[in-house]
Amino acid sequence: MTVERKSICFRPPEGFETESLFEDNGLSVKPGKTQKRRVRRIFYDTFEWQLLANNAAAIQENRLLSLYNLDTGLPFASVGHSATARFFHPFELKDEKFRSEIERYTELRALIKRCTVEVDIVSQQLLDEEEKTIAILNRETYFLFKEKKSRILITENLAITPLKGFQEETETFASGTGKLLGREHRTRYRDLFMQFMDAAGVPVNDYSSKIRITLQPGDPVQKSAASLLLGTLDIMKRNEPWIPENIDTEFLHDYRVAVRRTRSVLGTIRDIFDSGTTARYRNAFRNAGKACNALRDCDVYLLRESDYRAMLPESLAPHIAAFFKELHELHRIELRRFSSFLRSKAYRAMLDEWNGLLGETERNPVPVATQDTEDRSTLAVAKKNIRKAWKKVLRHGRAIPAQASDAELHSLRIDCKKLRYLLELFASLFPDKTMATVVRQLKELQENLGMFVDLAVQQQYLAGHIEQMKEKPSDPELAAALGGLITTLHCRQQKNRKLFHRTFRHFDNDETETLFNALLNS
Amino acid sequence: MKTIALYSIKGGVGKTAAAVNLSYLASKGDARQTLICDLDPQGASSFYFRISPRDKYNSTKFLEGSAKIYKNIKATDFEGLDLLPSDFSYRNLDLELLEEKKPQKKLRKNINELSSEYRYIFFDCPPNLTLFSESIFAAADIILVPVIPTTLSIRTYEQLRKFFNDTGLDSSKIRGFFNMVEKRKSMHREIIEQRGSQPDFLKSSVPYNSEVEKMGIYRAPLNAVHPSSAAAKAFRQLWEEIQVDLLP
Repeated sequence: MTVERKSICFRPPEGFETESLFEDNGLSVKPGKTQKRRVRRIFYDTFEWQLLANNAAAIQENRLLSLYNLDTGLPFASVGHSATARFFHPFELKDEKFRSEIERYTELRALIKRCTVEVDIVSQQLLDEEEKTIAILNRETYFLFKEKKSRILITENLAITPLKGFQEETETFASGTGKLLGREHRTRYRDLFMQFMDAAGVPVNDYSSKIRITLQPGDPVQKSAASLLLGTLDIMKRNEPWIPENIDTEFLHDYRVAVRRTRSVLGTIRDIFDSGTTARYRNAFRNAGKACNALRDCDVYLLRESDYRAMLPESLAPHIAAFFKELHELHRIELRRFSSFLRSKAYRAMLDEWNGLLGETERNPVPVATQDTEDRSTLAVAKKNIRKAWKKVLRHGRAIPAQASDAELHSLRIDCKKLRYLLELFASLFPDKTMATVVRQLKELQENLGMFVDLAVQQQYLAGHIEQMKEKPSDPELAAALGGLITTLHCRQQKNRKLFHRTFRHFDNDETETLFNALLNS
Repeated sequence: MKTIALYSIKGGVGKTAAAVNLSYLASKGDARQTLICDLDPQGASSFYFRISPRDKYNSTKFLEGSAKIYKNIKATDFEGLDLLPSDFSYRNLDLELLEEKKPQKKLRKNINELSSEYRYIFFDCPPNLTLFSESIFAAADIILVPVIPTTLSIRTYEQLRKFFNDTGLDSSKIRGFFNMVEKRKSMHREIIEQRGSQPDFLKSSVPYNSEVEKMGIYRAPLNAVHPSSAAAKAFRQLWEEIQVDLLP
């Protein structure tokens, strides 16, 4: 519960002398001691700019890593951190308090070095009548720091930062400064941040794993589907170069979601292409998905390392190390294998052709000859497919008996995923509010099913590992640890199984039906 | 968070100088956020740090706690050290506390709300023994009592311990230390010899030093302006001992 302080910034005009602020300003503030220093600041953010989206920035200065609020220009959390690596993960940070601050923005994504800025700062104390420092006036000259110590001037900034409890006095002084310099010279740290990235040639907010394509209801569905598929292709391409670098797990995750969405569009919207073309690309993307299944498994289990250790009693926890050691090795092999898949001529050629086909279809959608005369406009097809997918979820869900089997819940999970993809892909055709509510209802069911299937898959994976151990020198402690994990996961799965019917009833009710009808009959 | 009160029933024993210097030393080092609460309506520690309260700040706001307190905390010129300034209206705190449901626990409750922000909180206390003093006793983890090695000063120290014992308060919180010591005076030497070896007294003592009086001119902690003075060294030694013995 801190009273917010805020730096007040101005862009000084050319030839501006700081001393002029103290001449005849009618204020009781006078200049105190002056200090000069030079600092280097390394800016970090995730691939998705999750910090910037929350008006925050992670900045490494000397041996201190700080989180800054870009509105106030002030740090709100700091930790000793000497590494200046190209990237780091929140979980690597030992300070729990700082880590939880950063995990408010990202848990899984690494923070990647975005640019390095050198700042020449002339700091001047601003004193009141009692000669108490009320604020610091910083004249900051920013340079883009390049390799071989070369630097390029970016901009100048005049920042007036109040000491705690002196915001009002500082604002009075800043208001005088504003009058002297002119309103147009007022700036914000967020603007400076953008200037730094611009100078470094780093595009900001240039990535989202969500499809944000606005479709036209009356367009032929071929055209809209091509636009959506170009969107998923773009996400795949954006993530591909980063996957081999092994920076974080989300590059592969987003790639795989884009592949699944592609397959889902090809599988649910018929007649975008002729059946031969559709079958060829469905197969190609199924192969792309398969090629990284093992790598994704490694990612998922490696992320669970601390959870697994926590699940086990102290006597068994250390013995799980051998499992993770093997997993690391497997990850290395799978990463190399999938990286070479991504580089392979066959895959690249397939994507190029796919890109060409989609571009052509988007520009010149030619309806595939069909025998029926149904409405093939985007909105009509979207409604029809969503309705079909929704009804399928209801039909399959209602058929699941009290003692739901793993296979039944797994199958329902896939139905839900298909419905979710359709809702998200065609979201731009429907009112935001209704769509958001429908997705929220579905999400709750998906979370239950996702958790259930996930727990089942984990047990199978660990059991598979025990199976393999039969052929290797025996490690009874590891087998016991894996057995312990399977038992715990099984208990959790059983609890989840009991919750399924309640969660499904929450989805299969009058309220959700009304929402879907409102959406599909609009 | 640890709360340390500089307290004595007697005036003029050097509570403020000790609070200012010890809080400054506590704020040094790695991320050791420290707050000094000037609880004395005379506002001497506020004066030493050149800080006045806001116009609208008063004892009522102080008792309201939480946001009202936060809003009135000000940074000193020393990194990591903040101050909650005193206001002359603090002279009415006793009367206002009477209206509270649990007056003795009021300060502890208000201060607990600051626990996430500060590692150390120092109270520079007024020289009396009132309801407000009892609220301070409940809020403080350690009560440091500066004692001039004279008969009267020792007497008031003993009165305080007796008060604690009579009213069932935890007297183990009380630690005396000799202040304004003049070794050339035989009385000082004798009293220190007799009383200083008792476990409720800290071994470190602070000598009489004109530099302490000049803090009114410097308006800053001695260790910030004259770290080589005898008193500055003694405060450093005293803080070391407090850290080792009382702040595990």
